[in-house]
Amino acid sequence: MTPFKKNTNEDQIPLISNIEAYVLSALSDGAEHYGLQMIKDSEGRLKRGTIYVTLSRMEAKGYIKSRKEKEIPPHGTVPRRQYRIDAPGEAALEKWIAFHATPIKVLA
Amino acid sequence: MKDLKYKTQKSEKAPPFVYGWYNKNSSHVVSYILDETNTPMKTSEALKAYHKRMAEISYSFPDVAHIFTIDVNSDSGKETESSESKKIKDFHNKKVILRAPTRPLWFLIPFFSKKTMDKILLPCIADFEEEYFEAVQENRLWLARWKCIQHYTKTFVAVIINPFKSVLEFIFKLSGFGK
Repeated sequence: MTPFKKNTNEDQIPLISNIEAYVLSALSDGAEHYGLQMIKDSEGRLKRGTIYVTLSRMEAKGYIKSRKEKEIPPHGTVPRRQYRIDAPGEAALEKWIAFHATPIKVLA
Repeated sequence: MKDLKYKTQKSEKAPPFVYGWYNKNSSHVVSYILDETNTPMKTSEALKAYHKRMAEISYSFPDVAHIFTIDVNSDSGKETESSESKKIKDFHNKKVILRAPTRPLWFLIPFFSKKTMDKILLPCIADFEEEYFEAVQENRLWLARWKCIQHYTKTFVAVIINPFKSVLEFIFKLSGFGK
């Protein structure tokens, strides 16, 4: 039997996935980052094929906010999208860190 | 093969090259031609350097680099420009170098919602261009070619594979497996 944790009323903050946690930890300095920057900083944890889908879902959940840059970068033809962490994202990241810091209790 | 090796040698002096701009009307990358000291070159010199450089790139990299029609009359030494190049010249008073390698991805846009376009497709294109032009500016053509493959695959995964994966995950969740 694998213990399966369900969200209850007492536990409003859902536990995020590892990829979401990597994204939030990349944004946890409070500054704005764009996707490629996060991929380069993540040392291989975040992949090019999945990051924007993950970011899009996280934005829908309210963990992060994004905005389109006003200026087009010198090498490009389209403006980049900058992401920053939001309050629910900070709470979710704290919970994820606490969850992984707690040793797992083995049920007898 | 030998030629390509020669062209990508790092010890070779880097030819005058490329800085990107966006032309809103044509969605092409418009560029300066810079000399070794990063100063824009005179038109006639720049055109010669431009044609030489583009010939090299087009030879080894035909799918990605394209040349706009800018004709130089070699007999009289005067340049005659096509209407397209003139139009682009009016835009920034500069010359055109490369067409963005992301052009095929723009054709995907009508097939997706505005949200997908804004949140997934356009950031993918922005990353693609950034990494591609970084590689091209360093004269690393093979790396630029690899970036093209990598980013086309990435965009395909992001906009085609991931939605299917999400649907399958949703069905899996509904079916109650894993509980």
